[in-house]
Amino acid sequence: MSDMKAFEIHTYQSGKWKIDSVFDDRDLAMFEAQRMDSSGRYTGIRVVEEIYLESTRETKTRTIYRGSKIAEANAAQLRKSKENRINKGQALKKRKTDPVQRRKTAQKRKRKKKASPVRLIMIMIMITAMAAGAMYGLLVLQGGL
Amino acid sequence: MVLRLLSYWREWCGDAAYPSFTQVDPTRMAEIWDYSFVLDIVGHEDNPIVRTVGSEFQNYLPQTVRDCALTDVPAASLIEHAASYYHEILDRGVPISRGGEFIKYDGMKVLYRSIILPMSDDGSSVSGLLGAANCREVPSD
Repeated sequence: MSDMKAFEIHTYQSGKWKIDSVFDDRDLAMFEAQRMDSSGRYTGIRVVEEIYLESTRETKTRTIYRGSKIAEANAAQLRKSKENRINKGQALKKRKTDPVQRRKTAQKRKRKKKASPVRLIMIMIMITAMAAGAMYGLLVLQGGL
Repeated sequence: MVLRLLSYWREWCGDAAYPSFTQVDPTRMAEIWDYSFVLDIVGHEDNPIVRTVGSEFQNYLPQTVRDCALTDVPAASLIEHAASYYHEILDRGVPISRGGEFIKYDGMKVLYRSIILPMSDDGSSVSGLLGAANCREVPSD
């Protein structure tokens, strides 16, 4: 028994993939898909090979062609993420080597250091003292009146 | 020819899922129409009736098959092979093209490429099938 193969042309329409036509011949399907792709009428074109394995009664599918628009979109996305990665790396490197950046980072660290628990306690003590002073002042005023 | 007919079909479809037979203008596609056939499936889903057969297509048949049920068409003929997978179009609702070879009733080997397209009266449910096939005879081994 031989395995059965079918080549489906899919088009991307209204946010989903739709089967346009089915061929038993790979070359014909590829030819038609390329022709459709070059027509510019479709947002996306792909050819999916479907293989039915008689022995296991399983169907396996794989995309054997993607229209240029999809390929271009994928390539652009890949380029963009690559550029982002490079830019991020360079910025990090610059921050490490540039003396101005290093000073800024050190100052940031210093500022971070200042926000220690001791500092907080000091602030709390100051607030408490101020509140006590205010209360004493009020009492003196009350006594005076 | 198969791909040209498919292009026509897509054009007829417009925004609908399937085109109607009323959109088919045989004079505009005479070169394809001569190789085409129409299957009536309304009430005959299990055994479609051949309603029309193009003149060139008829040349590969030993007798007229107009208004014949598919099970009654001559064995080992082009229409038998070209229409053999009609149920797949009914199941999937998309155009399907098949090719192959067979030994014709007169002993000649025939290489063929066919296509069957779903057609509709209301644009959404399949009510008929338009098929076409071209072929080449080669001496059998």
